[in-house]
Amino acid sequence: MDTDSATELTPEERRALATLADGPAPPADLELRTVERLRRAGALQRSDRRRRGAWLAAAAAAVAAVSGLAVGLWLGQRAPAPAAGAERYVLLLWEDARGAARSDPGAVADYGRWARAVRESGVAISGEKLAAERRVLEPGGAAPGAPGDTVLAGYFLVEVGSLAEAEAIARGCPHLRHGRVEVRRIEPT
Amino acid sequence: MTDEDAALAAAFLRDRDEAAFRALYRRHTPVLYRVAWRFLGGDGADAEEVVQETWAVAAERLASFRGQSSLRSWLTGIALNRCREALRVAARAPRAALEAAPATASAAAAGASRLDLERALAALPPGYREVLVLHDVEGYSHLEVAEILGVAPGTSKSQLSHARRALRERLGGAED
Repeated sequence: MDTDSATELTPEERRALATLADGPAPPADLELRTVERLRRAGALQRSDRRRRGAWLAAAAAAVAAVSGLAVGLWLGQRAPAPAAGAERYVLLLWEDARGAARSDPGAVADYGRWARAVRESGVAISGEKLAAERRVLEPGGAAPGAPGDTVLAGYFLVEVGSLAEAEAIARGCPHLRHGRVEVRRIEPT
Repeated sequence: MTDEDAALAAAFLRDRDEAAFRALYRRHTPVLYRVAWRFLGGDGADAEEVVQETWAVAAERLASFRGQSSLRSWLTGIALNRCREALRVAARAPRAALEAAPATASAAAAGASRLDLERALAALPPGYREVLVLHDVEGYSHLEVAEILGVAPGTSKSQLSHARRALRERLGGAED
């Protein structure tokens, strides 16, 4: 019991008070005003300036967002700040098109554990799983369902000093048990 | 801290990412605004200022937040302190239009209109209003309320009893 019995809320009181939680709403322009205030204070950096050439990661993130996956689903926790001078590499997780349609929650948990271990070793890492449903656009029109034997199942972004280092990390990725991992440096543009 | 809050906080901290900040803002600002609005007695302009200050402080201190409580509780604690500061600076009791008009004497809590309730809340002593808004309106647990107010959970419970009595009295409903 929260309080003494004499001051317990009646159901009507409980409902009446709970209805107050539906308002008032903050003004719509408050978000922009808050963002501008933080920008002026140097506390924010525009995302479009920060993403130097990470077009693939952005596209993949957009797909994941549409599929309802939360950012950092595979990671779950905060990543450490990258070391100065680190480069960004993307680990592209390819798999057989038939395997992509199967959902395996256990595999997702494996990926999460691996990513957390990488992070705990001091490497900044983030990543997302892509939904099986996809649309591939070809020059001249859409091709729903899409051709090809392999599909992109997800990706990880790591911040390390070299391609060799990124490759060494990729070798431990559980995805290699059934699919290919392609390691590419994100080129600043 | 929820996984989603943790992931967004990490993305924000990594390189002060605006998109991550906006996502955090949208998740938590509605409750921060409502709470500030009611703590300040229904003053929208002051509540907006408190929300902005809360996010400015949060952006500065998020790196040192260890996730020992929910992000919502942590942010609400910051907002509460800003509200108290705003009231101190203004050297006034919470007032605003809501309090200026007294609640109708005949309105018992059970049948009180929304405006009657808002007026009665605005007229409560600040300590009572804080615990009642957090627990009975917004649904924070006593543990969260205690953490936000910096008191023991037992104190939060007894304070809530007093607050409910005071609210009923202001609404004109006799306590049985």
